[in-house]
Amino acid sequence: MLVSNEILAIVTFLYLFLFFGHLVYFATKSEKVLTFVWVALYVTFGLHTVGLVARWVESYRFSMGHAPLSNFYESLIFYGWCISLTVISMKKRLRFPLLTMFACLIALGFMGYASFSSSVDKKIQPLIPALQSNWLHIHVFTCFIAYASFAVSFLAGLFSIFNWKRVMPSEETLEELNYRSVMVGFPMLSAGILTGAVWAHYAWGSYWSWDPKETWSLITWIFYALFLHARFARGWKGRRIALLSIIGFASVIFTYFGVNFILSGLHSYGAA
Amino acid sequence: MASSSVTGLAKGEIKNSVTVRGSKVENKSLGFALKLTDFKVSFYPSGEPKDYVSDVEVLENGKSVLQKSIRVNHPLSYKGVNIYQSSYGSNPAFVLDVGGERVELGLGGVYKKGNLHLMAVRYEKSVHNFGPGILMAYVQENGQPQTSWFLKDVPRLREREILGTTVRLEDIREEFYTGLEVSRDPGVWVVWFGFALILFGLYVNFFLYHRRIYLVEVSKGVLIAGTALKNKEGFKEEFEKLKGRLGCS
Repeated sequence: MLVSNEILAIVTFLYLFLFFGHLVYFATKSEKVLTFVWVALYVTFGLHTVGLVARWVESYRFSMGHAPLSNFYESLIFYGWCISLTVISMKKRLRFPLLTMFACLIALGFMGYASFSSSVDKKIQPLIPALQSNWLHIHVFTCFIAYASFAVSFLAGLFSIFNWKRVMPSEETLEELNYRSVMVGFPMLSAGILTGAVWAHYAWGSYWSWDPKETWSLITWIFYALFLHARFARGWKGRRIALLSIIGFASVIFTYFGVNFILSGLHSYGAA
Repeated sequence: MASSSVTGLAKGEIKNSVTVRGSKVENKSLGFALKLTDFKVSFYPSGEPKDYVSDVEVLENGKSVLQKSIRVNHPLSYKGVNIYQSSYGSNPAFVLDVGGERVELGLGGVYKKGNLHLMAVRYEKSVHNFGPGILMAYVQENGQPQTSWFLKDVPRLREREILGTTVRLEDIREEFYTGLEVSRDPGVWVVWFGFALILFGLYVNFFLYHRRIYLVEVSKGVLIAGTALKNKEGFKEEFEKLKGRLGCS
């Protein structure tokens, strides 16, 4: 049994705990509870980081020595980590508990799926030759920060569609949140696709091979380009932009999961 | 113009041109010769591939000028031609004992000695569930061609007398060959520059923004005002800081 797996299983429970912490806050509206929730979020994020580093260190024990970014389990764990990182780094400008609550719920979903699903292989696997490159780190990091930002944009869209009374921030704050997250996500996705292309050039000799993951990431990229265009050039707001951010995230999810499970190709590391 | 093709090389093989498939199929000279000195595939205990290494030699006028190992993510670049480790495959090689002499034949390979003509014409991984076998063709004394199967796992069918010589199938081995992607792409730097430009453009577009700040002298002092087209929240914050520094209310 790996120590890192144990740590990450605890982190999963902490996300669940955080979700309930938020519920307690909404029930009591006590600022003390909210402060406590934020401290707990920092602790969870810290332990999550420790879990990732521990897995990296443990991979050396099996004389493989690679960053935990190489298989489906590791990508789920890393996605959860990126979502935490995104909401924490957005805290200064945009802090409202509904966002952190749902972000924790999404992180819980990914972590729970990774830790407790029998179909996800939790073992540390060696790197196949194509992945043995330093481009792996920058490529995966940029892509997953983009995915996490789009998850936040999706939440902003969701909130603005459902418009729950009392717990909701103002419509302007939501728009700002939606725009800001796409503003981070879009350049990050661009960087992810471009670093992937440079890497592919050195690994296989062609920077674009219309692999399903490449094609779908391009579709997602074009979609968010349209989102930004609709906002800036057409002045779309409110419900329409919210719908776009929801559809956009569906495309992200398909790029991430759908391609792994349904279509096979150069990126199908998740397939069982 | 970028062009690329995949070429297979067996151990010891030398190539100085590749077939490029574009709008028309043509043979392109590399400008040098490439020799595969060795090809190794290694696997992890789990069966996953660990490394593909093609040891190659670049030959100019028959002389070796460069030796390098081509691996995935580590291409060879020589005179504007990039050579990548792209794929690999294997061909069967048959080890025969022909009257005490050790002979190695590939598929379609021919052995000649005196009036004995042997050719490996077909290979099957499983012949009627009796295991791997090869179909050998030979010429009978009367000049008629004849074929017969040699089965590796069936002792009775492993050896046969042909024209007085005992021919015995010793082993069937797999000979790996490497698949190398050869491409010439002198414009790649333009593409890299374009990539950098896209990222720089995104940075400028999203993270830098125009703002205007007005300072107007009025009878009671100075009026300060500002406007920004984008990033209004960020500008509000910046503006408040500026106001604070100027000691305004």
